[in-house]
Amino acid sequence: MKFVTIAVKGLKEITRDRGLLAMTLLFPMVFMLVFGYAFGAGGGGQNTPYDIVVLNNDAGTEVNYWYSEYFNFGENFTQVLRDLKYENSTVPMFILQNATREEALKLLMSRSIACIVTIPENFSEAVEATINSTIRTTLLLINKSMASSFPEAKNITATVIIEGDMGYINFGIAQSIIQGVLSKYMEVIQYEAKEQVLQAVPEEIKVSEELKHVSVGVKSVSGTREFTAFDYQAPGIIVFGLLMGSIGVAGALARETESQTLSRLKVSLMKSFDLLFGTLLPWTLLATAQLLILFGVALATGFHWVGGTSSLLIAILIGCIAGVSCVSLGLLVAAFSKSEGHAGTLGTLVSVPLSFLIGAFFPLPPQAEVVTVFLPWRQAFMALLSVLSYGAQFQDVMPNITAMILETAVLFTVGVIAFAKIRLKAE
Amino acid sequence: MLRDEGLESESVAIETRNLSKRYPKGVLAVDGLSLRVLKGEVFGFLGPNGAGKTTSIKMMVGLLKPTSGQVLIEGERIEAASRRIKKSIGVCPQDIVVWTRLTCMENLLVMADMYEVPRKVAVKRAEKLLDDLKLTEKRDALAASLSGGMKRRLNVAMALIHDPEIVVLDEPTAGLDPQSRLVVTEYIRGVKETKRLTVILTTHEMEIADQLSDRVAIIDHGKLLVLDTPENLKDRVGKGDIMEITLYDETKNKRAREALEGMEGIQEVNEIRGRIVVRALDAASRLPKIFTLLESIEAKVLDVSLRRNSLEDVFITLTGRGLRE
Repeated sequence: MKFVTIAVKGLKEITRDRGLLAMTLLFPMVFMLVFGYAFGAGGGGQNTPYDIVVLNNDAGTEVNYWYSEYFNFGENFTQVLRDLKYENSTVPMFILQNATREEALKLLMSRSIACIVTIPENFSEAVEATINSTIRTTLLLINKSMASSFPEAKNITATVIIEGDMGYINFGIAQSIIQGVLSKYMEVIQYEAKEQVLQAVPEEIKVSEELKHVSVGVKSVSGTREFTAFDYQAPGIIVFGLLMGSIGVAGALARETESQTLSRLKVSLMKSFDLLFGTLLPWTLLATAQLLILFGVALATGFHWVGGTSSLLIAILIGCIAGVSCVSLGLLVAAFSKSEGHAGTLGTLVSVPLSFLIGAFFPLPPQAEVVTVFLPWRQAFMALLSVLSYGAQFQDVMPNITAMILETAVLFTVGVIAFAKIRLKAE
Repeated sequence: MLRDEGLESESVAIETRNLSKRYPKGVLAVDGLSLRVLKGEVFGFLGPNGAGKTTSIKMMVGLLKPTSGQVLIEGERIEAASRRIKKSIGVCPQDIVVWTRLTCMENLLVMADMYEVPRKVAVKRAEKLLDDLKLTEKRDALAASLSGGMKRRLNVAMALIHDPEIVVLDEPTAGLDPQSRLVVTEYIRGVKETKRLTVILTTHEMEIADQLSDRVAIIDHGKLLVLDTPENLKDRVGKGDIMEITLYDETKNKRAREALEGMEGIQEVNEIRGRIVVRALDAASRLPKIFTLLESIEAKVLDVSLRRNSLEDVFITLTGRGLRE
């Protein structure tokens, strides 16, 4: 198998080029340290509070379960945002400014605030519907007769709008934290509703067998009260770090063109697949090493993730697939590169904008999602964010992982065809 | 008329038919090249730098697409060459093309794998090639650590590791030290004598082409000027010796040339790089008369050399200029 020979050759060349190896492995380390501290990891960064305006339009709602009480969940959520503190610090994460919508828009234009959070009028109703639905679902699993006597949840949706300037870094950070807080807020509400049901229902009428299927386990929520902006930026930084690795792959293949060793291979029985798959293997190993370094440095500099070791393992799996995607991208770039220098320039021109396009640093407008969903790195970013920041389980990110694998396979195939057409044909 | 016309097609290893290559900037590197390389012969491709030798052989092995014309390897078009045909060609490029971070042995084994040579056979063959090309001591040394001459020898070995039937050696001796040049030329000579291998050898060094080639094609400006055995080519421009005369005063070259042209027994007079090149039968016996003639026109002689005619003289006769001009 010729690809094995190419892979072994590549591995030997990589390990014998100490400079390249050191650069490739040190790069993610330095990169994560710089970005980590810039985003406040390890307490070394500046714990700067973000000024925001929360416009709470929530009308509130009357909650009637075992007791009756008026509730304004919008106010409650606003208070959560107000109380949020940086890790090991008394510095608040957000300073909530009082302003009308017009005043808030002016503040936004002058970048005096990072974003405007608008809580809709039906927010409490939607939260109540969530609680209602959670209670019914829980009761159904415990005691069906009790569940049927419980009112059905309203079919209602409330959307919290976070407005800001996409080009302003503070908006990117603030909105991703607020999204995380909202997601966790809803999770806690659901968890508490389930807990109340379990406490209210007498032990003797619980059907213990079915209870096993009720997912009411408490997740580790290390980020809920003590966030750093870094915790939300780390997944994006990891994907960006891996994307930058594609430049090295492109350079290695372009070197074969430049030094004419490709001409030797061209006249042999080797096929484009042998060369590209053989190149993919050692560089994937290197990308995995880069990934572990990125994770290691992130953790060492104070990255907090939701969930335990299993979350981290899922994240590493996602990272590995993302690594293969990045190497495949490098192969495609190499098809259009005549020299190592050219590959470096072209690789940078492709991978840096791609990092922004997938939302690694700034949130994407909804319209962009239509396109970026076809990029494996966007899927990787979304999956990493879901697992590490929002505590998603493996089954939750399965669609992302499946899409990544399919998109990577397509990318690799396109790379093989492009390389065969452009570089392996007679000039 | 070319000497190989009318040959049986089974005896032809490579055939080019009206082959031309025009580069995108408009340069016509090869212009209607038609020739046949016979199985088992060493075919010399001689011409000055930029004559179109490398472009021609790149088209012959399928690295370059011709603008027009065809290349046939054992009757198969190179663009659609089968695995057997691909396996039968070995290419040693003009530049040193080795993986510098691999050892000599590793370089050879990578190429062997690319041609699907079984590992045991490949190792044996690699050991033999390293021995023949005096690289055994450098077996496990990184190619990057080799001298230029050693790298070029490894370059040659990499073209031969899969035991091809046709080997294309593009300027294999260019820039070599005398020791490496001897190793490479002796190796080609050995291959020629012991194996029925077709060798296409491009060079701008007439001595190498003369010593090693069974037939020589001389090309210039992309056109085939002549194709024949070295002996026939030398005979074609006339038998005799070559005398090269350098005068103290180059401005007198023209007058001296005119005087010599009118002298009895002188077959040809040319001026190449400031020297007067005279071809004459039994030139040594004519030396006194030549000196007297030059003295009569006050042309003082700085240096004189006498040698047998060579392929360069064939080129000079055909083009009126030297190979290295």
